[in-house]
Amino acid sequence: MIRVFLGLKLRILRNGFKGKTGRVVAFVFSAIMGLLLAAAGFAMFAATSQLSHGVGKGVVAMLGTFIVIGWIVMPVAMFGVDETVDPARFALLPIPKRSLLSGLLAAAFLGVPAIATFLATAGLILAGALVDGVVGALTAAIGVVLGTLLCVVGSRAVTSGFAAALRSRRSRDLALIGVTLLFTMIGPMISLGSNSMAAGNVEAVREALRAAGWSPLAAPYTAFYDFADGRPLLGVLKLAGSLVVLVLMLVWWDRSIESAMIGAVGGVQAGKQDNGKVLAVLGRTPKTVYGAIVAADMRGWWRDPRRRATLLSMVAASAAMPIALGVGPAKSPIAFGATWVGVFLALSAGNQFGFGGASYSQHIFAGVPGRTELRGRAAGLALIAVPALTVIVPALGALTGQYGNIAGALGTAYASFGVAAGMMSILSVYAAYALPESSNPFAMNSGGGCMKGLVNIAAMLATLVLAAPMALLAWWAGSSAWSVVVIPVSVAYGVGAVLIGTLIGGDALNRRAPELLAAVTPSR
Amino acid sequence: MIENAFELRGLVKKFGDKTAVAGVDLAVPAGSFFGLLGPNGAGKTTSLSMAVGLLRPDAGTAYVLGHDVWQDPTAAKKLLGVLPDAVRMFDRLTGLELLTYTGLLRGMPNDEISARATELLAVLGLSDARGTLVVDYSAGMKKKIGLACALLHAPKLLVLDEPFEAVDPVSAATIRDILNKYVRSGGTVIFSSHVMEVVERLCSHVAILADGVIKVVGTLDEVRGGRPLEEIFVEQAGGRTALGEELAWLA
Repeated sequence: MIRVFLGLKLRILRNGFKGKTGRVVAFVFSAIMGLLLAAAGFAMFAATSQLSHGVGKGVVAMLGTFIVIGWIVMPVAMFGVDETVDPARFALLPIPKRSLLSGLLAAAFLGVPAIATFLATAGLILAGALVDGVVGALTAAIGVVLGTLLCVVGSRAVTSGFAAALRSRRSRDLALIGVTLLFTMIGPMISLGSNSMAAGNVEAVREALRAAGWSPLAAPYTAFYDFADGRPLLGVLKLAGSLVVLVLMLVWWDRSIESAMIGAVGGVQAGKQDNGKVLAVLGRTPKTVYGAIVAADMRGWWRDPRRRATLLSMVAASAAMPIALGVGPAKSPIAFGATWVGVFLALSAGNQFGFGGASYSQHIFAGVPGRTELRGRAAGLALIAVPALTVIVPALGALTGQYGNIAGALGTAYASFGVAAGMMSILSVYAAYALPESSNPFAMNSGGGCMKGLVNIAAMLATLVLAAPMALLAWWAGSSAWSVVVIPVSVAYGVGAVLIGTLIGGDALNRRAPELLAAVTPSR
Repeated sequence: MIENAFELRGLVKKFGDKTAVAGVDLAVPAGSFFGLLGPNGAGKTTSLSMAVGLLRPDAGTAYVLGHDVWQDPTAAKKLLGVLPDAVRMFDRLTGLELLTYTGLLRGMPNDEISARATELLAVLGLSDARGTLVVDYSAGMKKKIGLACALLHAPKLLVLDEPFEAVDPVSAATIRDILNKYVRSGGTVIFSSHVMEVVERLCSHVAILADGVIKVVGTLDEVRGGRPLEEIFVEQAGGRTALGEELAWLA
């Protein structure tokens, strides 16, 4: 049965490449990148054997933690999860649950990231052999297999768990808290590590890494050192602990698969009434085309699970980034962190037409002018983002004790949001793509992930460069009285950027409306 | 005594405050051609989804030839053929690949799969499209390939949600022929529809579902009682809104 699942996934991937040169190029590129990273990782892990046991173990613990956390957080935050083999499609077939789970798991391994992770960490097997001969190689191999399984199952469990949570509106807030916690936890961890390393605080680093080596995040990878150091019981305990975590993840995944399988029908029909309290303000938007688009866009961010998931993870990511930069002894100016917050919030609009899919045709029928369309959407997002910025940035300032710099940072955040929103107005017209018809808000079409990531990163870099003048202004003003002036200047800068972005994007939209519609319509 | 091929017992589904299905009981005799009628939003799809294991009921269950769909799904799904909607098909496969994988996932032997798949594609007029991705099929072709998936393992019971929707008259005639032949050779079919003409032409038994409950059930003649089926349907569905002075601006 597993062979059937693997064959199915390979076949779907291959069919996806037929006649799509861009996809093939993107895939080859990501495969080469994956292989290079895997080779580098392999060498790095193998090289740890040349360090003393204590240091080697610490390095392995750190790298292992990064890998596992990356696997769990990245899909939720940015890239989504490959739903080539969507569990919902097996609902009508008489497949026992155990076969289904093992089949889906096997299929999940077929992908560049999973294979690259396995190859990279396989360097530990060599390290184990060099450190402790056959026993070392064997225990390291078990650890590597367990670790890879943890990564793949963990990412599946977390994404489908969140997807299930986001599907029901009641637990939406729970999911938000979960995502935010995940981010805010890793942020400080990374910065604490790097900051104390920079400050030469070796003892703190050692303590942190010992804890990490114990956590399920790195335990499977570090276990072989314990065997080598003559503490086999400890090693067995770490491997067994990882196995228990793995089983728990499997159980969680299994549960959410069921919800994905039989929840899909309900999701469509659950015609719940929106009590509209939160959106009451929308009744007050001007009764014009522009006002209608603002209102529709805000409702969309609130009601569409996919948009909500995108926006929420961007909010979480935006809060985590500056915390990572700002906590610890080596503080970076909060204005720079605030730039991230603004940019991240606007990034959710990078594919703003993709969310609605073919419903954009209504706007074409109605003949909505391109600039009005984009400005309405930008305003809709701003009505959510600006209050969020106004809360997040001062909170960050208070958290990092940089009270005097809050005004400047707030200005920077507004400016960078404006620049990013303007950039997204253009990007969303030229680089729109259709989202798959799936009940999983994190789902994406296979093969497109890499390209999507590259375009987004390029746009993000451009935005950072364009927003830099305001960040520098805020930095220059520091906590002086001038920092109050930064706010109006930055707001003007941001509004100007939105106007220019929507001008360029709007004209493009007027010309490209049918092409855009074709790009965002999911092929049925 | 006639055995029931399909039994729905006390199925209930609520979405929030709204009760979509308020206790549906239905017995589909083996060898019958059963039409489930109902206006839009009556709960036809919801009821059938619960009955085939796609949507967990709040109460009640369904039996396929005595196998509980929710207690023993694997056994029930082996006897059951269901017309999947487009979201439930691997549409990035070609028609032939889709049938092949459906068969493999059902554990059928390879030569049986390829023989049956070829025959089904030919009968349904999809032979030319066997190498085309299902995602590029027209709506009617998707219905037909879905039907082929449902028939591939020779089920004892076919459950079809709106099988004639979006299907052209030629294909509809083909599907009717296939279903008639299937019932004559001992199979049981239940399908939902709101097209009276199709139901009157095909069905031996009829049930009318409205407001989440079964209003009328019986053989076609019992239900009609000598009147046109459409009249009964409109009556059970709560009548029509008479059009008087409204829409005067529409000119």
